[in-house]
Amino acid sequence: MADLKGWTGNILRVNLSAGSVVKEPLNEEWARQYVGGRGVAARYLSEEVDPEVDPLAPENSLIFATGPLTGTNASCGSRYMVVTKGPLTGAMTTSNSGGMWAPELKFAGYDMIIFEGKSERPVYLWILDDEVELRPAEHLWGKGVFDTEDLLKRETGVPDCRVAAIGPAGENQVLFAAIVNEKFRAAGRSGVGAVMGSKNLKAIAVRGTGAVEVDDPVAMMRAQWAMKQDLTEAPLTSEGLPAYGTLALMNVINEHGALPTNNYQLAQFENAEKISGEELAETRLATNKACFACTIACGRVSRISDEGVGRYAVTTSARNWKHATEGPEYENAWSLGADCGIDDFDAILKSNTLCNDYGMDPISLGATIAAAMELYEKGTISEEQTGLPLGFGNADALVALTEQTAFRRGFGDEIAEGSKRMGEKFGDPDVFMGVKGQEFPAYDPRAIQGMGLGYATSNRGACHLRAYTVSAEIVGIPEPVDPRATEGKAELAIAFQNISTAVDATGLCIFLTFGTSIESIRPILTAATGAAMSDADLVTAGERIWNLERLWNNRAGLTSADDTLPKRMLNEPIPAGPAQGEVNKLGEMLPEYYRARGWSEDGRPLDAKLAELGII
Amino acid sequence: MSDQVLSIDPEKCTGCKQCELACSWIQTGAFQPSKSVIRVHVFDEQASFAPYACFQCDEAWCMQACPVNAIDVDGQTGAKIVLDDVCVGCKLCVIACPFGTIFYDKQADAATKCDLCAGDPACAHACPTGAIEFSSVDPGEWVVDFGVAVNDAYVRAIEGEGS
Amino acid sequence: MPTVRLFAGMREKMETREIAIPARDVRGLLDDLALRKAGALASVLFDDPASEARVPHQDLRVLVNGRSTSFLDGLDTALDDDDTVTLMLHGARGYPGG
Repeated sequence: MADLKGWTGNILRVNLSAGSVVKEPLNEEWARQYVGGRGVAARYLSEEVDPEVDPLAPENSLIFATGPLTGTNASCGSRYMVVTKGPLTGAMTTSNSGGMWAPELKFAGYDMIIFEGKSERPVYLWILDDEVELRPAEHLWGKGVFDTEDLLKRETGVPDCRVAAIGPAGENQVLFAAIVNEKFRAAGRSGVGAVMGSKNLKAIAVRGTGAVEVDDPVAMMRAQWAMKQDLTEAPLTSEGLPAYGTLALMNVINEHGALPTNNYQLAQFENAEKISGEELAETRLATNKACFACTIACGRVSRISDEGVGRYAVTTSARNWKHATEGPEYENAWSLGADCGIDDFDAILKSNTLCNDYGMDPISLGATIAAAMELYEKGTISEEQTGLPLGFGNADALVALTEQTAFRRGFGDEIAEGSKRMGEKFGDPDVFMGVKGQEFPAYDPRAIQGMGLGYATSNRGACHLRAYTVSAEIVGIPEPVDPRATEGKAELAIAFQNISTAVDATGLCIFLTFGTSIESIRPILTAATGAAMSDADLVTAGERIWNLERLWNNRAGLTSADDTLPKRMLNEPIPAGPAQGEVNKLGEMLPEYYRARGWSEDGRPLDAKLAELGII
Repeated sequence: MSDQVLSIDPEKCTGCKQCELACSWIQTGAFQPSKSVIRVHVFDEQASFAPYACFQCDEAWCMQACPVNAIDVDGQTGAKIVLDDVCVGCKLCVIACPFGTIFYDKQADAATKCDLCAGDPACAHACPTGAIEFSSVDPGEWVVDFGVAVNDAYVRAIEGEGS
Repeated sequence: MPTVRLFAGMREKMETREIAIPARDVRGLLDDLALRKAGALASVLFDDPASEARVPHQDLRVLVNGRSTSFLDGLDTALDDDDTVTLMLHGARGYPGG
């Protein structure tokens, strides 16, 4: 990799069945074509893993991938992407996390880690620069993420190491288990933690003292300085996110009548204010916190309120004497809150903290509990089955089920399967609010049409980050677009998908796009790698990655029939509020989406498109 | 000699480590936080982030401890600087420094510390929140206020005990 | 009279969560608000508070009953007594995407 900078040029291939660790050069051609992170990992996965593999079988691979800008001073260059076949969706999943772990991997000298096979016994991977080895982890199995991190720092004698781990949820293969680094940053969605658990891999602890070199350090500094100015001038990234975090959205989305409540039966939550960013800032916020190199700092360090401590105390380490925790993000406060009809902020913080410790995706957890609450209120399931009263608004039930789900105890064993499988089991599949087996996040697609198309076509199942058209349809960035209209939404969703994918691939954070643009990001990438590239080339790389993921999903058996929304979204109008009477008109948008993508009518990338993009 | 100092406000720090990246970049032209001589300590449980770098203290213990006179004072900035060609890598300075802000670089086999970038510190430029600034302040003021406050508290406590 | 609901940065600037304003349309409502809290507030409501043109600030989003005025009649959007107006600064403190 002499020619391409930004990268370290090395990847680690770990065969867990054989217990072997091999250092090999990164495929430079793929690095040029697919930019990095999500893209390069997708290329490796499609080369090496049969799309029809059982996600939890040893034949599936689990890839941790950084980008060329991870570990540089580019604002928000903190990210890594976990790429694998997801157990919740059966599709290629890409799950992203920030914090400090990914830069540390680069400083140790590695761009990616590919885990293959399955270890006979629990192990963790230890990396200290050139020293890389699999070590026994029997003593860590069963422990939470918080304890695992503290114990590893102690036993390795390297307190500066960064730890990414699974908790009991990953070990017990809860289908939406997460991989959590530094206790509160997570590759949260699509069950990547379950794949890690299926391989008997408990954690990756890494410490790196080396350097990340860039092609043109001076150009890099100039380009980064310009982007930092963008972020300082844009109100969202300079004031909104630091002051209120993502939770500022709670009141906003509620005012638009697009806040899903009680498992998407309603679109406004009367107590939204009690679980809002304003409430957090006034009553429970300790400070805001940045990921590596981040000049935004949207992270929330928060505390359980004095009144809440008795019932919902949290412990994140032996030294935590102030009940400090982190979060919640908007999506989590929504899923554990409004979607379950719960307005107790301390219960939400408690459940969210448990999700981090046990290693679970709070979005899918909250949404699945919400679906169970609907089943319970309809009388489809009884207290005899659930073991606890499960009406909407029951905060104690939320906390109890969070615990039970991670350990697959009691009714938690049903929740652990996600709401699609749970609904099918109890004879009411329509209770599942999501796409391709993955639960929706926090925006009602009946009130925001573009989000419906984004959810339906997302390669990893329902997701807000793959096509965040809310940015245009609600926030008005880059310009206001009518959320009720369907016209032009295909092009809008495609633009968001391609750009977001490109940003993901660089190793930067997607939140940059609230304050800056591809025109500012691309020069940083070029200065770092030294590979000539235009702004348009970068967006095309995003399109290339998107198509590659889609192609693989087609081969895994997913078809246009999977690009759909639940009946409730298509046929049941929103009963009240500003968007009363609206349904999602997916049928008006999807054919145009396929056409504009250059895909066949049944949603397969056509040869002409694949050739144009240079995909084999 | 300049009266400018690195003034650090932990309350404003978000723990992003842009300062460490800038510091290592100035020294090596690459990004390598392990080479940085300003470091951010993160106390997660206390929700506190504390950047720390050399105070350039008048009574520099590192300089006094050095057996080969490898630490000198920069006439322009007042920074205590390590003379690379004189330093023998004995680490006595690292032991002597009460603040832990002079480091031993294994590869160079020499001590390394903040030299205030010859009067234009990169960390202060890189900090996105203004937690690190290079400015003219009287470092004595708050120390004096703090000392008086502590003293008053002692006096009150002792008097209270006496009565 | 129409009720104005305020969030995030707008709430900080107005020092209230909700306020009733006697106005027949959005333009009148913004004018009234600007008078009540001159200075800091006027400058986030209008591009140039001194100008007669009354161009709303580019960061300001106005909802009437949950619908953006960008897709109603803009500043001319009429207001009834039982209408709810939401003012948000999708700029000077307001948003994300998490």
